[in-house]
Amino acid sequence: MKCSLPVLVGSALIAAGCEEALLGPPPENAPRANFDMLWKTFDENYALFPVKAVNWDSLRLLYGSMITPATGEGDLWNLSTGLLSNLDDGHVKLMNRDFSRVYDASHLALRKADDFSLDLVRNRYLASPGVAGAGLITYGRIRNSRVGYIHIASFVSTVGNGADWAYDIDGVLRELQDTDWLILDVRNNGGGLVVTLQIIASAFIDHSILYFWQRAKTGPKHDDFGSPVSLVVSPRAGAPGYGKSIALLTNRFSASGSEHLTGIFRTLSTVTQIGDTTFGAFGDIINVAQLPNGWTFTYPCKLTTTPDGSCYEGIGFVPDVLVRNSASDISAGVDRVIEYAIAHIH
Amino acid sequence: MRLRYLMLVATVAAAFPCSAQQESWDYIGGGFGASDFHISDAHASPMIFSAWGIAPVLQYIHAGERTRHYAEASFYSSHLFTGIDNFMTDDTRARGRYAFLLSVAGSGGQDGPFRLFLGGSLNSFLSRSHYYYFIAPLNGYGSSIDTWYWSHSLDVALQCEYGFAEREFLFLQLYVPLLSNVSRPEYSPAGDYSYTENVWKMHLFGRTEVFPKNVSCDILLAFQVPLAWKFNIQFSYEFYFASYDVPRDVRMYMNNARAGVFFCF
Repeated sequence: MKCSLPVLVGSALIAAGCEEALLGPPPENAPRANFDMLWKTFDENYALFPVKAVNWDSLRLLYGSMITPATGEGDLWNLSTGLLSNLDDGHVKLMNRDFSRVYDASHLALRKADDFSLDLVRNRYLASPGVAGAGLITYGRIRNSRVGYIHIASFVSTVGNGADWAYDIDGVLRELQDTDWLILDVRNNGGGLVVTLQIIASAFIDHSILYFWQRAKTGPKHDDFGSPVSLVVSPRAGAPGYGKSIALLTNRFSASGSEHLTGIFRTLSTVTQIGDTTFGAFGDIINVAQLPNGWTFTYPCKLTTTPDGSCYEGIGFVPDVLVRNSASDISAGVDRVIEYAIAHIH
Repeated sequence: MRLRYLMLVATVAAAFPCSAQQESWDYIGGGFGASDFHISDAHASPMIFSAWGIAPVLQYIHAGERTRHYAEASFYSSHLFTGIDNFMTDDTRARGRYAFLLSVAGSGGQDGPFRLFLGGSLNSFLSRSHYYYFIAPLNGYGSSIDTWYWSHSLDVALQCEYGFAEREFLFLQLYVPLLSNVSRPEYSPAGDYSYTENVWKMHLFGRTEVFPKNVSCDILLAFQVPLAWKFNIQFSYEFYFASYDVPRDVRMYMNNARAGVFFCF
């Protein structure tokens, strides 16, 4: 028994210096190893495979076979983004180590967002425009009318920008209570946090709305999902509400959180969606993952469907009235979408 | 003022009469030191993160004729790095423990200098990590994910003790969990995410496991010697290792070196 003490102490001290023995080898930072880790992370965690028509195993063979130990960072970047481009997902992004390269895996991201100008709306259509929400909310009245207008540029966090969304949107709605109807504009709004858009939606509604179902992965197989969880937004105590007609303006860059808001407002009989189809980015809870070469990448962790079970990922919400601006319309100082709303909703 | 102080000291001393052959001793005190922590949590990152951090502790020891009671509350905090300089992790750990040990053997009978104790302990250990990354163009940081390993366990405890003199002893403790309840994140990084608070919500309890499913090992080597009057000084080294594979592999270990002062009564 006397010898047990030094043996145990010695064992502990030896073990203390053996990171690899205790935790396993560190991840290999080689081109193929990084590619495989990227592929495997999506294979086991990406929640949208059931609605993406891709053969993920084949894509690994296709792109992975082009990687050799001599593959440089540039070529690895091209092959990795090539792999991810097949997902055509606005929530999938790849960033290199110093963020000098940021890849967006959505085909829509290649398009230029030139069919909307907030400056044009502000200068040509609004009388005395105001701002709230740390500059993210632009509002006012359409000139020579009793029509209210609110544009929300983003649903980013309330933390960090000093905005109090409930206070700001309630204040804006109170100012516009005497209008006959309202234009709510989420064009070029790329989304943000669900909690933020729910706060905004809760200012308008007078009853609870179940607008989406979501399921999270529970295992590595593409169809390993847990029970669906409902997303419900309820009226907020003290919020002013707005029971009159609303024209909800969307375009192809109304994405993610904007599509949540659209999903809520589509259930209201007082709302007409005008403009272009939304982006079609319905994945939720975006995880940021790491690779041994210092790259980071994002992917959505939840599959989202509407209450009838439909998934609009990669499709978007088609508007009730399809009206598009061209780049030349905007250059010429015309916003056809807002003009259609003014002419027809009343 | 000085007279008041002396009277206070005398009163305290009288309350704890010192006996040359006191049959049992209680030690209560605290220590401070450094913790060398290493973690690999596949749920958050493929990388191994490690660093030195702080390791304060509060401890109570009751040394009876044939029994030992041991209670501990410890805290650890480390800012962890990996080989890739744009990935970082803040890790906070805490442990609460109570152990009861009974003398089962000794050199020269139960009163010899070397004694072996066997018993059990209730142990709760938490390691919570916040992973983030550096965004060079913003000169700022982005949050990646929060993960945790929280194990509540019923351990088998073993203590080897060598007494040099009264209040002067060396002991080595070993703890291994037999039955545990382990809280870990759900499989999906979204599983524990709260929309309303924008945080990952940690659960107090998780899956119940039987050895060897939740493997951990804690070895504590400590030496106490009288410092002055009723105070002892303690030097300790501790090695801790844990490994669990739900929802994905997490492994961690730490080396803790501390010095502390104990009041003996």
